[in-house]
Amino acid sequence: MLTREKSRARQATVIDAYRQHSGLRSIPHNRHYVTLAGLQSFEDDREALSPHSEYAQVTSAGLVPLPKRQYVAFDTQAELIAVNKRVAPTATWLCEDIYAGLVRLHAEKKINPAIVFYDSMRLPQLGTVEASKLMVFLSKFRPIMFVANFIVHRQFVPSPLSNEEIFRSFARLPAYGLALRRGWSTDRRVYRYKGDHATMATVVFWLDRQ
Amino acid sequence: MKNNNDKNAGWSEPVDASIAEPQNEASCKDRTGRFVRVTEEMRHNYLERMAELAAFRKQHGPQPVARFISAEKKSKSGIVVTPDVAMEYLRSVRYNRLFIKKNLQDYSMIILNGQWIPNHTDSTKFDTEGYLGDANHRMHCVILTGVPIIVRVDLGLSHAEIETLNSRKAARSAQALSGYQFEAPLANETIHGVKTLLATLGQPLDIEGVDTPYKRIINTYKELIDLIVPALPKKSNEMPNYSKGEVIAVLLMIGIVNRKTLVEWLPKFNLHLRYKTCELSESLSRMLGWLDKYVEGRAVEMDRSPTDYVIRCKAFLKAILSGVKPKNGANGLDDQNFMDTLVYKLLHEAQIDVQLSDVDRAPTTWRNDPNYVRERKK
Repeated sequence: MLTREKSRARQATVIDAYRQHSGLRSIPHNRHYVTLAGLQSFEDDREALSPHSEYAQVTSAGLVPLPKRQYVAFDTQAELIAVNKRVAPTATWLCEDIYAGLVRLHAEKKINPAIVFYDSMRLPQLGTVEASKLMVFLSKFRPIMFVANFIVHRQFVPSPLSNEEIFRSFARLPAYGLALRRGWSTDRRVYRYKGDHATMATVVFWLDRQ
Repeated sequence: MKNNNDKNAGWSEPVDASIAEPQNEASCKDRTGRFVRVTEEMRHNYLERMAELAAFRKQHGPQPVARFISAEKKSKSGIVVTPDVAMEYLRSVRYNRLFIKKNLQDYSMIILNGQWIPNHTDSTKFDTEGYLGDANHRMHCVILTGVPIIVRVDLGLSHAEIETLNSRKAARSAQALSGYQFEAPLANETIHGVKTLLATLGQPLDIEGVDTPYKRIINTYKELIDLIVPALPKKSNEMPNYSKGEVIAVLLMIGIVNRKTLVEWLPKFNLHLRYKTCELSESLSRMLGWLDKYVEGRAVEMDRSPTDYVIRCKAFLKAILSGVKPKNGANGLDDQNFMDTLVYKLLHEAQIDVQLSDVDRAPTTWRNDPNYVRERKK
Protein backbone atom coordinates (compact mmCIF):
# COMPACT_ATOMS: atom_id res chain seq x y z
CA MET A 1 0.00 0.00 0.00
CA LEU A 2 1.07 3.51 -0.73
CA THR A 3 0.74 4.82 2.81
CA ARG A 4 2.76 2.01 4.30
CA GLU A 5 5.53 2.36 1.75
CA LYS A 6 5.44 6.09 2.19
CA SER A 7 5.70 5.88 5.96
CA ARG A 8 8.60 3.45 5.69
CA ALA A 9 10.37 5.85 3.36
CA ARG A 10 9.66 8.73 5.73
CA GLN A 11 11.08 6.75 8.61
CA ALA A 12 14.28 6.08 6.67
CA THR A 13 14.78 9.43 4.96
CA VAL A 14 13.56 11.86 7.62
CA ILE A 15 13.48 10.34 11.09
CA ASP A 16 16.39 7.91 10.92
CA ALA A 17 18.46 10.22 8.73
CA TYR A 18 18.07 13.11 11.17
CA ARG A 19 18.92 10.96 14.17
CA GLN A 20 21.91 9.44 12.46
CA HIS A 21 23.36 12.72 11.25
CA SER A 22 22.61 14.97 14.20
CA GLY A 23 22.95 12.48 17.06
CA LEU A 24 19.71 13.89 18.51
CA ARG A 25 16.53 11.91 19.05
CA SER A 26 14.26 14.87 18.35
CA ILE A 27 14.62 18.36 16.99
CA PRO A 28 15.57 21.06 19.54
CA HIS A 29 12.67 22.87 21.23
CA ASN A 30 13.37 26.22 19.62
CA ARG A 31 13.39 24.81 16.08
CA HIS A 32 10.77 23.75 13.56
CA TYR A 33 9.80 20.87 11.33
CA VAL A 34 8.66 22.33 7.98
CA THR A 35 6.87 20.27 5.37
CA LEU A 36 4.51 20.39 2.42
CA ALA A 37 1.14 19.50 3.89
CA GLY A 38 -0.72 17.74 1.10
CA LEU A 39 -3.67 15.72 2.31
CA GLN A 40 -2.73 13.68 5.35
CA SER A 41 -3.86 10.08 5.20
CA PHE A 42 -6.98 9.26 7.22
CA GLU A 43 -8.62 6.33 8.88
CA ASP A 44 -11.62 4.93 7.08
CA ASP A 45 -14.15 7.14 8.80
CA ARG A 46 -12.27 10.28 7.69
CA GLU A 47 -12.42 11.70 11.18
CA ALA A 48 -9.01 10.79 12.54
CA LEU A 49 -5.50 10.73 11.13
CA SER A 50 -4.02 7.42 10.10
CA PRO A 51 -0.85 6.37 12.00
CA HIS A 52 0.82 6.35 8.58
CA SER A 53 0.15 10.06 8.05
CA GLU A 54 3.14 12.34 8.24
CA TYR A 55 1.88 14.32 11.21
CA ALA A 56 1.07 11.23 13.28
CA GLN A 57 4.30 9.54 12.34
CA VAL A 58 6.76 12.31 13.18
CA THR A 59 5.00 13.18 16.42
CA SER A 60 4.56 9.62 17.66
CA ALA A 61 8.15 8.78 16.78
CA GLY A 62 9.23 11.67 19.00
CA LEU A 63 10.99 13.58 16.23
CA VAL A 64 8.73 16.59 16.80
CA PRO A 65 8.08 16.68 20.56
CA LEU A 66 6.00 19.87 20.57
CA PRO A 67 3.82 19.70 17.45
CA LYS A 68 1.78 22.72 18.45
CA ARG A 69 4.84 24.92 18.20
CA GLN A 70 7.19 22.99 15.97
CA TYR A 71 5.16 21.40 13.17
CA VAL A 72 4.68 23.86 10.28
CA ALA A 73 3.07 22.71 7.04
CA PHE A 74 2.49 24.67 3.84
CA ASP A 75 0.12 24.05 0.98
CA THR A 76 -1.35 26.26 -1.70
CA GLN A 77 -4.74 24.54 -1.69
CA ALA A 78 -7.06 25.96 0.94
CA GLU A 79 -9.30 22.89 1.00
CA LEU A 80 -6.50 20.57 2.02
CA ILE A 81 -5.38 22.99 4.70
CA ALA A 82 -8.94 23.20 6.04
CA VAL A 83 -9.29 19.42 6.23
CA ASN A 84 -5.92 18.99 7.91
CA LYS A 85 -6.73 21.76 10.36
CA ARG A 86 -9.94 20.04 11.32
CA VAL A 87 -8.30 16.75 12.24
CA ALA A 88 -5.05 18.15 13.68
CA PRO A 89 -5.89 21.59 15.02
CA THR A 90 -2.83 21.90 17.21
CA ALA A 91 -0.29 22.09 14.38
CA THR A 92 0.37 25.11 12.17
CA TRP A 93 -1.17 24.74 8.70
CA LEU A 94 -0.50 27.61 6.33
CA CYS A 95 -2.13 28.16 2.95
CA GLU A 96 0.87 29.64 1.21
CA ASP A 97 3.69 28.83 -1.16
CA ILE A 98 6.46 27.23 0.89
CA TYR A 99 9.21 29.57 -0.32
CA ALA A 100 7.15 32.74 0.08
CA GLY A 101 5.88 31.53 3.45
CA LEU A 102 9.33 30.74 4.79
CA VAL A 103 10.65 34.12 3.66
CA ARG A 104 7.72 35.87 5.31
CA LEU A 105 8.11 33.98 8.58
CA HIS A 106 11.86 34.65 8.53
CA ALA A 107 11.24 38.37 8.02
CA GLU A 108 8.86 38.27 10.99
CA LYS A 109 11.48 36.30 12.98
CA LYS A 110 9.04 33.47 13.64
CA ILE A 111 10.82 30.49 12.13
CA ASN A 112 14.00 28.52 12.64
CA PRO A 113 13.67 25.20 10.82
CA ALA A 114 15.74 22.14 11.69
CA ILE A 115 14.20 19.87 9.05
CA VAL A 116 12.57 20.89 5.79
CA PHE A 117 10.80 18.07 4.00
CA TYR A 118 10.15 19.16 0.41
CA ASP A 119 7.81 16.31 -0.46
CA SER A 120 7.07 17.47 -3.99
CA MET A 121 4.85 15.82 -6.57
CA ARG A 122 7.13 16.89 -9.39
CA LEU A 123 9.60 15.27 -11.69
CA PRO A 124 13.25 16.16 -11.00
CA GLN A 125 13.47 18.51 -13.98
CA LEU A 126 11.13 20.97 -12.27
CA GLY A 127 11.39 19.86 -8.67
CA THR A 128 15.13 20.49 -8.47
CA VAL A 129 14.60 24.13 -9.44
CA GLU A 130 12.34 24.73 -6.45
CA ALA A 131 14.51 22.60 -4.19
CA SER A 132 17.71 24.50 -5.08
CA LYS A 133 15.97 27.81 -4.52
CA LEU A 134 14.84 26.64 -1.11
CA MET A 135 18.30 25.35 -0.22
CA VAL A 136 19.92 28.69 -1.01
CA PHE A 137 17.44 30.44 1.26
CA LEU A 138 17.67 27.83 4.01
CA SER A 139 21.42 28.32 4.39
CA LYS A 140 20.52 31.03 6.90
CA PHE A 141 19.52 28.34 9.41
CA ARG A 142 22.25 26.01 10.68
CA PRO A 143 22.45 23.09 11.28
CA ILE A 144 19.62 22.01 9.03
CA MET A 145 18.53 18.98 7.04
CA PHE A 146 16.73 19.28 3.72
CA VAL A 147 14.91 16.27 2.32
CA ALA A 148 13.80 16.48 -1.31
CA ASN A 149 11.34 14.01 -2.73
CA PHE A 150 10.61 13.68 -6.46
CA ILE A 151 8.53 11.52 -8.74
CA VAL A 152 10.81 9.51 -11.01
CA HIS A 153 8.23 7.38 -12.78
CA ARG A 154 4.54 7.86 -13.39
CA GLN A 155 1.97 7.66 -16.11
CA PHE A 156 3.15 9.16 -19.43
CA VAL A 157 6.80 9.00 -18.38
CA PRO A 158 8.21 6.32 -20.69
CA SER A 159 10.86 4.90 -18.38
CA PRO A 160 11.92 5.49 -14.78
CA LEU A 161 14.43 8.29 -14.34
CA SER A 162 17.72 7.10 -12.91
CA ASN A 163 19.46 8.39 -9.81
CA GLU A 164 22.10 9.95 -12.03
CA GLU A 165 19.38 11.89 -13.84
CA ILE A 166 18.26 13.47 -10.56
CA PHE A 167 21.76 14.70 -9.77
CA ARG A 168 22.26 15.84 -13.36
CA SER A 169 19.12 17.96 -12.99
CA PHE A 170 20.58 19.48 -9.85
CA ALA A 171 24.02 19.99 -11.35
CA ARG A 172 22.82 22.05 -14.29
CA LEU A 173 21.28 24.66 -11.99
CA PRO A 174 23.42 27.65 -10.96
CA ALA A 175 21.35 27.88 -7.77
CA TYR A 176 22.52 24.40 -6.76
CA GLY A 177 26.12 25.52 -7.23
CA LEU A 178 25.45 28.48 -4.97
CA ALA A 179 23.85 26.20 -2.39
CA LEU A 180 26.92 23.94 -2.35
CA ARG A 181 29.20 26.95 -2.02
CA ARG A 182 27.17 27.92 1.03
CA GLY A 183 28.02 24.59 2.62
CA TRP A 184 25.29 22.12 1.69
CA SER A 185 26.45 18.54 1.33
CA THR A 186 24.97 15.18 0.39
CA ASP A 187 26.14 11.59 0.33
CA ARG A 188 24.66 11.28 -3.21
CA ARG A 189 22.54 8.31 -2.21
CA VAL A 190 18.93 8.05 -3.30
CA TYR A 191 16.07 6.29 -1.50
CA ARG A 192 13.68 4.85 -4.09
CA TYR A 193 10.26 3.38 -3.37
CA LYS A 194 7.12 2.54 -5.29
CA GLY A 195 3.66 3.84 -4.59
CA ASP A 196 0.41 2.85 -6.24
CA HIS A 197 0.71 5.21 -9.17
CA ALA A 198 4.27 6.47 -9.16
CA THR A 199 7.83 5.69 -8.21
CA MET A 200 9.42 8.21 -5.89
CA ALA A 201 13.01 9.08 -5.05
CA THR A 202 14.33 10.95 -2.05
CA VAL A 203 17.63 12.77 -1.58
CA VAL A 204 18.90 14.11 1.75
CA PHE A 205 21.03 17.25 2.07
CA TRP A 206 22.82 18.59 5.12
CA LEU A 207 24.18 21.90 6.16
CA ASP A 208 26.76 21.95 8.98
CA ARG A 209 26.62 18.23 9.47
CA GLN A 210 27.63 17.27 12.98
CA MET B 1 -1.95 -7.97 1.64
CA LYS B 2 1.03 -9.03 -0.39
CA ASN B 3 3.39 -6.21 -1.10
CA ASN B 4 5.57 -6.50 -4.16
CA ASN B 5 7.34 -3.23 -3.61
CA ASP B 6 9.49 -4.25 -0.69
CA LYS B 7 12.34 -5.49 -2.78
CA ASN B 8 12.48 -2.18 -4.69
CA ALA B 9 12.46 0.18 -1.75
CA GLY B 10 15.72 1.24 -0.15
CA TRP B 11 18.85 3.30 -0.40
CA SER B 12 20.90 3.19 -3.56
CA GLU B 13 24.66 3.26 -3.94
CA PRO B 14 26.19 6.76 -4.07
CA VAL B 15 26.01 8.38 -7.48
CA ASP B 16 29.32 9.15 -9.14
CA ALA B 17 30.64 12.48 -7.90
CA SER B 18 31.51 13.67 -11.40
CA ILE B 19 27.82 13.56 -12.37
CA ALA B 20 26.70 15.56 -9.36
CA GLU B 21 29.24 18.33 -9.90
CA PRO B 22 27.45 21.64 -10.23
CA GLN B 23 28.06 24.29 -12.83
CA ASN B 24 29.96 26.91 -10.94
CA GLU B 25 29.88 30.47 -12.01
CA ALA B 26 33.41 30.98 -13.25
CA SER B 27 33.42 34.71 -12.67
CA CYS B 28 31.06 37.59 -12.38
CA LYS B 29 32.12 38.84 -15.82
CA ASP B 30 29.91 38.37 -18.84
CA ARG B 31 30.94 36.53 -22.02
CA THR B 32 32.92 39.42 -23.36
CA GLY B 33 34.85 39.59 -20.11
CA ARG B 34 34.37 43.34 -19.87
CA PHE B 35 31.13 43.81 -17.98
CA VAL B 36 30.00 42.67 -14.57
CA ARG B 37 26.79 40.68 -14.68
CA VAL B 38 24.08 39.70 -12.22
CA THR B 39 25.20 36.72 -10.16
CA GLU B 40 23.15 33.89 -8.72
CA GLU B 41 23.67 35.33 -5.24
CA MET B 42 22.09 38.63 -6.27
CA ARG B 43 19.22 36.84 -7.96
CA HIS B 44 18.39 34.90 -4.81
CA ASN B 45 18.63 37.91 -2.54
CA TYR B 46 16.27 39.66 -4.94
CA LEU B 47 13.81 36.73 -4.85
CA GLU B 48 13.76 36.80 -1.06
CA ARG B 49 13.21 40.55 -0.92
CA MET B 50 10.38 40.26 -3.46
CA ALA B 51 8.72 37.53 -1.39
CA GLU B 52 8.94 39.84 1.64
CA LEU B 53 7.48 42.68 -0.40
CA ALA B 54 4.61 40.53 -1.65
CA ALA B 55 3.83 39.42 1.90
CA PHE B 56 3.86 43.03 3.12
CA ARG B 57 1.62 44.23 0.33
CA LYS B 58 -0.79 41.34 0.85
CA GLN B 59 -1.10 42.21 4.51
CA HIS B 60 -1.05 46.00 4.48
CA GLY B 61 -1.70 47.04 0.88
CA PRO B 62 0.18 49.95 -0.68
CA GLN B 63 1.50 52.30 1.97
CA PRO B 64 2.62 55.88 1.24
CA VAL B 65 6.26 56.57 1.90
CA ALA B 66 6.53 57.24 5.62
CA ARG B 67 9.81 59.07 5.46
CA PHE B 68 8.59 61.31 2.70
CA ILE B 69 11.29 63.24 0.98
CA SER B 70 11.41 66.74 2.31
CA ALA B 71 11.97 69.76 0.15
CA GLU B 72 15.51 70.13 1.46
CA LYS B 73 16.46 66.72 0.17
CA LYS B 74 15.08 67.46 -3.24
CA SER B 75 18.10 69.04 -4.76
CA LYS B 76 19.42 69.32 -8.27
CA SER B 77 21.95 66.55 -7.70
CA GLY B 78 19.26 64.06 -6.61
CA ILE B 79 18.99 61.64 -3.69
CA VAL B 80 20.68 58.34 -2.93
CA VAL B 81 18.48 55.24 -3.15
CA THR B 82 19.81 52.22 -1.24
CA PRO B 83 18.15 48.77 -1.41
CA ASP B 84 16.28 49.44 1.84
CA VAL B 85 15.01 52.78 0.57
CA ALA B 86 13.99 51.11 -2.69
CA MET B 87 11.99 48.53 -0.73
CA GLU B 88 10.24 51.33 1.09
CA TYR B 89 9.39 53.06 -2.18
CA LEU B 90 8.13 49.84 -3.75
CA ARG B 91 5.78 49.28 -0.84
CA SER B 92 4.08 52.49 -1.90
CA VAL B 93 3.36 51.47 -5.51
CA ARG B 94 -0.34 51.52 -6.30
CA TYR B 95 -0.24 52.32 -9.99
CA ASN B 96 -0.80 49.21 -12.03
CA ARG B 97 1.91 49.57 -14.65
CA LEU B 98 3.36 46.85 -16.81
CA PHE B 99 6.56 45.28 -15.54
CA ILE B 100 9.09 44.56 -18.28
CA LYS B 101 11.73 41.98 -17.44
CA LYS B 102 14.09 43.18 -20.14
CA ASN B 103 14.29 46.59 -18.49
CA LEU B 104 15.33 44.87 -15.29
CA GLN B 105 18.22 43.13 -17.06
CA ASP B 106 19.33 46.21 -18.97
CA TYR B 107 19.22 48.62 -16.06
CA SER B 108 20.96 46.11 -13.79
CA MET B 109 23.89 45.84 -16.20
CA ILE B 110 24.10 49.63 -16.37
CA ILE B 111 24.02 50.02 -12.59
CA LEU B 112 26.49 47.20 -11.92
CA ASN B 113 29.00 48.62 -14.34
CA GLY B 114 28.86 52.10 -12.87
CA GLN B 115 27.26 53.71 -15.89
CA TRP B 116 24.13 55.00 -14.19
CA ILE B 117 23.71 58.74 -14.71
CA PRO B 118 20.58 60.49 -13.39
CA ASN B 119 19.32 62.68 -16.22
CA HIS B 120 16.84 65.48 -16.27
CA THR B 121 13.95 63.66 -17.97
CA ASP B 122 13.75 60.31 -16.18
CA SER B 123 12.98 61.40 -12.67
CA THR B 124 11.46 59.36 -9.88
CA LYS B 125 7.91 60.60 -9.56
CA PHE B 126 5.75 60.74 -6.45
CA ASP B 127 2.16 61.85 -6.41
CA THR B 128 0.58 64.31 -4.03
CA GLU B 129 -0.12 61.68 -1.37
CA GLY B 130 3.36 60.17 -1.32
CA TYR B 131 2.87 57.12 -3.52
CA LEU B 132 5.49 56.16 -6.08
CA GLY B 133 4.23 56.77 -9.60
CA ASP B 134 7.20 55.90 -11.79
CA ALA B 135 10.67 54.31 -11.68
CA ASN B 136 9.54 50.87 -10.54
CA HIS B 137 12.19 49.15 -12.67
CA ARG B 138 14.93 51.31 -11.21
CA MET B 139 13.91 50.39 -7.67
CA HIS B 140 13.80 46.69 -8.55
CA CYS B 141 17.28 46.98 -10.06
CA VAL B 142 18.70 48.57 -6.92
CA ILE B 143 17.35 45.65 -4.89
CA LEU B 144 18.60 43.12 -7.43
CA THR B 145 22.12 44.50 -7.66
CA GLY B 146 22.45 45.85 -4.13
CA VAL B 147 24.15 48.95 -5.55
CA PRO B 148 22.83 52.36 -4.40
CA ILE B 149 22.13 54.87 -7.15
CA ILE B 150 21.41 58.57 -7.34
CA VAL B 151 18.04 59.57 -8.73
CA ARG B 152 16.32 62.85 -9.31
CA VAL B 153 12.94 63.26 -7.72
CA ASP B 154 9.72 65.01 -8.67
CA LEU B 155 7.19 65.45 -5.89
CA GLY B 156 3.50 66.26 -5.76
CA LEU B 157 2.49 65.24 -9.27
CA SER B 158 -1.15 64.72 -10.10
CA HIS B 159 -2.54 61.45 -11.38
CA ALA B 160 -3.01 62.97 -14.84
CA GLU B 161 0.62 64.00 -15.04
CA ILE B 162 1.87 60.56 -14.07
CA GLU B 163 -0.57 58.88 -16.41
CA THR B 164 0.97 60.57 -19.46
CA LEU B 165 3.80 58.02 -19.10
CA ASN B 166 1.40 55.35 -20.30
CA SER B 167 0.43 57.19 -23.46
CA ARG B 168 2.22 54.77 -25.82
CA LYS B 169 1.71 51.60 -23.81
CA ALA B 170 -0.86 48.92 -24.56
CA ALA B 171 -3.43 48.61 -21.82
CA ARG B 172 -4.60 45.34 -20.45
CA SER B 173 -8.26 44.55 -20.27
CA ALA B 174 -7.75 43.50 -16.65
CA GLN B 175 -6.48 46.99 -15.91
CA ALA B 176 -9.52 48.54 -17.48
CA LEU B 177 -11.96 46.28 -15.68
CA SER B 178 -10.27 46.86 -12.35
CA GLY B 179 -11.28 50.46 -12.60
CA TYR B 180 -8.02 51.93 -13.81
CA GLN B 181 -8.60 55.31 -15.39
CA PHE B 182 -6.34 56.26 -18.23
CA GLU B 183 -5.70 59.81 -19.29
CA ALA B 184 -3.96 58.72 -22.47
CA PRO B 185 -6.23 58.70 -25.55
CA LEU B 186 -4.85 55.46 -26.99
CA ALA B 187 -5.48 53.51 -23.80
CA ASN B 188 -9.01 54.83 -23.68
CA GLU B 189 -9.76 53.12 -26.96
CA THR B 190 -9.05 49.81 -25.35
CA ILE B 191 -11.30 50.61 -22.45
CA HIS B 192 -13.99 51.67 -24.82
CA GLY B 193 -13.72 48.32 -26.58
CA VAL B 194 -13.92 46.33 -23.38
CA LYS B 195 -16.80 48.40 -22.13
CA THR B 196 -18.66 47.94 -25.37
CA LEU B 197 -18.04 44.23 -25.20
CA LEU B 198 -19.51 44.03 -21.75
CA ALA B 199 -22.25 46.48 -22.51
CA THR B 200 -23.43 44.41 -25.44
CA LEU B 201 -23.51 41.35 -23.24
CA GLY B 202 -25.99 43.04 -20.96
CA GLN B 203 -26.12 46.11 -18.81
CA PRO B 204 -23.13 48.42 -19.18
CA LEU B 205 -20.42 48.07 -16.57
CA ASP B 206 -20.06 51.35 -14.79
CA ILE B 207 -16.31 51.68 -14.81
CA GLU B 208 -16.29 55.36 -13.93
CA GLY B 209 -18.32 54.58 -10.84
CA VAL B 210 -15.63 52.42 -9.23
CA ASP B 211 -14.43 53.88 -5.94
CA THR B 212 -10.73 54.11 -6.52
CA PRO B 213 -8.99 54.98 -9.74
CA TYR B 214 -6.26 52.44 -9.00
CA LYS B 215 -5.98 48.72 -9.30
CA ARG B 216 -8.75 46.88 -7.57
CA ILE B 217 -7.70 43.53 -6.21
CA ILE B 218 -10.46 40.97 -6.17
CA ASN B 219 -10.09 38.87 -3.05
CA THR B 220 -13.38 37.11 -2.68
CA TYR B 221 -15.85 35.44 -4.92
CA LYS B 222 -18.52 37.92 -3.88
CA GLU B 223 -16.47 40.87 -5.09
CA LEU B 224 -16.06 39.19 -8.43
CA ILE B 225 -19.76 38.50 -8.66
CA ASP B 226 -20.54 42.10 -7.82
CA LEU B 227 -18.22 43.22 -10.57
CA ILE B 228 -19.12 40.87 -13.39
CA VAL B 229 -22.67 39.64 -12.96
CA PRO B 230 -24.42 43.01 -13.40
CA ALA B 231 -22.88 43.11 -16.87
CA LEU B 232 -24.36 39.78 -17.94
CA PRO B 233 -27.77 39.13 -19.43
CA LYS B 234 -30.37 37.24 -17.45
CA LYS B 235 -30.22 33.51 -18.01
CA SER B 236 -33.85 32.69 -17.43
CA ASN B 237 -36.56 33.28 -14.90
CA GLU B 238 -36.18 29.78 -13.50
CA MET B 239 -32.42 29.98 -12.95
CA PRO B 240 -31.50 33.61 -12.41
CA ASN B 241 -28.26 32.94 -10.51
CA TYR B 242 -24.96 32.08 -12.08
CA SER B 243 -22.91 29.18 -10.81
CA LYS B 244 -19.25 29.70 -9.96
CA GLY B 245 -18.12 27.75 -12.98
CA GLU B 246 -20.28 29.88 -15.25
CA VAL B 247 -18.87 33.12 -13.93
CA ILE B 248 -15.35 31.86 -14.47
CA ALA B 249 -16.31 30.65 -17.92
CA VAL B 250 -17.50 34.15 -18.77
CA LEU B 251 -14.20 35.57 -17.60
CA LEU B 252 -12.33 33.05 -19.70
CA MET B 253 -14.43 33.82 -22.75
CA ILE B 254 -13.93 37.52 -22.69
CA GLY B 255 -10.24 37.00 -22.06
CA ILE B 256 -9.89 38.62 -18.65
CA VAL B 257 -8.66 35.57 -16.80
CA ASN B 258 -5.90 33.31 -18.00
CA ARG B 259 -5.17 29.82 -16.78
CA LYS B 260 -2.49 30.89 -14.30
CA THR B 261 -4.72 33.46 -12.65
CA LEU B 262 -7.53 30.96 -12.60
CA VAL B 263 -5.49 28.42 -10.66
CA GLU B 264 -4.57 31.15 -8.17
CA TRP B 265 -8.22 32.10 -7.79
CA LEU B 266 -9.66 28.65 -7.36
CA PRO B 267 -8.94 28.40 -3.61
CA LYS B 268 -10.57 31.79 -3.08
CA PHE B 269 -13.74 30.55 -4.72
CA ASN B 270 -13.73 27.29 -2.76
CA LEU B 271 -13.43 25.30 -5.95
CA HIS B 272 -11.49 22.09 -5.61
CA LEU B 273 -8.74 21.64 -8.16
CA ARG B 274 -9.85 18.13 -8.96
CA TYR B 275 -13.28 19.30 -10.06
CA LYS B 276 -11.94 22.26 -11.97
CA THR B 277 -11.78 20.64 -15.37
CA CYS B 278 -15.17 18.94 -15.17
CA GLU B 279 -17.05 21.92 -13.87
CA LEU B 280 -15.41 24.39 -16.21
CA SER B 281 -15.93 22.34 -19.31
CA GLU B 282 -19.56 21.84 -18.38
CA SER B 283 -19.93 25.54 -17.73
CA LEU B 284 -18.25 26.45 -20.98
CA SER B 285 -20.64 24.24 -22.88
CA ARG B 286 -23.58 25.84 -21.16
CA MET B 287 -22.21 29.33 -21.67
CA LEU B 288 -21.65 28.74 -25.34
CA GLY B 289 -25.17 27.42 -25.54
CA TRP B 290 -26.95 30.32 -24.02
CA LEU B 291 -24.70 32.93 -25.57
CA ASP B 292 -25.60 31.46 -28.89
CA LYS B 293 -29.26 31.62 -27.99
CA TYR B 294 -28.76 35.21 -27.00
CA VAL B 295 -27.28 36.14 -30.37
CA GLU B 296 -29.11 34.00 -32.86
CA GLY B 297 -32.09 32.77 -30.93
CA ARG B 298 -31.35 29.09 -31.37
CA ALA B 299 -29.57 26.36 -29.47
CA VAL B 300 -26.11 25.06 -30.24
CA GLU B 301 -25.12 21.44 -30.55
CA MET B 302 -22.15 20.74 -28.40
CA ASP B 303 -20.66 17.82 -30.29
CA ARG B 304 -18.78 19.97 -32.75
CA SER B 305 -15.14 20.17 -33.68
CA PRO B 306 -12.89 22.99 -32.48
CA THR B 307 -13.08 24.62 -35.91
CA ASP B 308 -16.78 25.08 -35.51
CA TYR B 309 -16.20 26.63 -32.16
CA VAL B 310 -13.78 29.07 -33.74
CA ILE B 311 -16.22 30.06 -36.45
CA ARG B 312 -19.12 30.39 -34.07
CA CYS B 313 -17.12 32.34 -31.53
CA LYS B 314 -15.77 34.64 -34.18
CA ALA B 315 -19.25 35.24 -35.52
CA PHE B 316 -20.48 35.93 -32.04
CA LEU B 317 -17.65 38.27 -31.18
CA LYS B 318 -17.94 40.10 -34.47
CA ALA B 319 -21.58 40.67 -33.71
CA ILE B 320 -20.61 42.06 -30.36
CA LEU B 321 -17.86 44.23 -31.70
CA SER B 322 -19.72 45.47 -34.74
CA GLY B 323 -20.23 48.80 -33.05
CA VAL B 324 -16.51 49.31 -32.53
CA LYS B 325 -14.17 50.24 -35.34
CA PRO B 326 -10.67 50.47 -33.92
CA LYS B 327 -7.75 51.42 -36.09
CA ASN B 328 -5.52 48.55 -37.02
CA GLY B 329 -2.40 48.34 -34.88
CA ALA B 330 -3.63 51.03 -32.53
CA ASN B 331 -3.12 49.26 -29.26
CA GLY B 332 -4.45 46.08 -27.78
CA LEU B 333 -7.76 46.23 -29.58
CA ASP B 334 -6.48 45.66 -33.07
CA ASP B 335 -9.47 43.92 -34.60
CA GLN B 336 -7.81 40.73 -35.83
CA ASN B 337 -5.39 40.35 -32.92
CA PHE B 338 -8.04 40.95 -30.35
CA MET B 339 -10.33 38.38 -31.90
CA ASP B 340 -7.56 35.85 -32.23
CA THR B 341 -6.54 36.32 -28.65
CA LEU B 342 -10.05 35.86 -27.41
CA VAL B 343 -10.68 32.83 -29.54
CA TYR B 344 -7.36 31.31 -28.62
CA LYS B 345 -8.04 31.76 -24.95
CA LEU B 346 -11.48 30.35 -25.30
CA LEU B 347 -10.29 27.36 -27.24
CA HIS B 348 -7.38 26.81 -24.93
CA GLU B 349 -9.90 26.14 -22.21
CA ALA B 350 -12.54 24.57 -24.42
CA GLN B 351 -10.22 21.78 -25.47
CA ILE B 352 -10.92 20.18 -22.13
CA ASP B 353 -14.50 20.03 -23.22
CA VAL B 354 -13.62 18.57 -26.58
CA GLN B 355 -11.76 15.73 -24.95
CA LEU B 356 -14.70 14.92 -22.74
CA SER B 357 -17.45 14.98 -25.35
CA ASP B 358 -17.84 12.53 -28.20
CA VAL B 359 -16.08 14.22 -31.06
CA ASP B 360 -14.97 12.14 -34.01
CA ARG B 361 -12.16 14.45 -35.00
CA ALA B 362 -10.25 16.17 -32.24
CA PRO B 363 -6.87 17.54 -33.37
CA THR B 364 -4.15 17.79 -30.78
CA THR B 365 -3.97 21.55 -31.02
CA TRP B 366 -6.23 23.93 -32.77
CA ARG B 367 -3.28 25.39 -34.65
CA ASN B 368 -2.82 22.06 -36.40
CA ASP B 369 -6.42 21.99 -37.46
CA PRO B 370 -6.34 22.22 -41.30
CA ASN B 371 -9.75 23.86 -41.46
CA TYR B 372 -8.65 26.65 -39.24
CA VAL B 373 -5.52 27.26 -41.34
CA ARG B 374 -7.63 27.38 -44.47
CA GLU B 375 -9.93 29.88 -42.91
CA ARG B 376 -7.08 32.14 -41.93
CA LYS B 377 -5.70 32.10 -45.46
CA LYS B 378 -9.01 33.40 -46.75
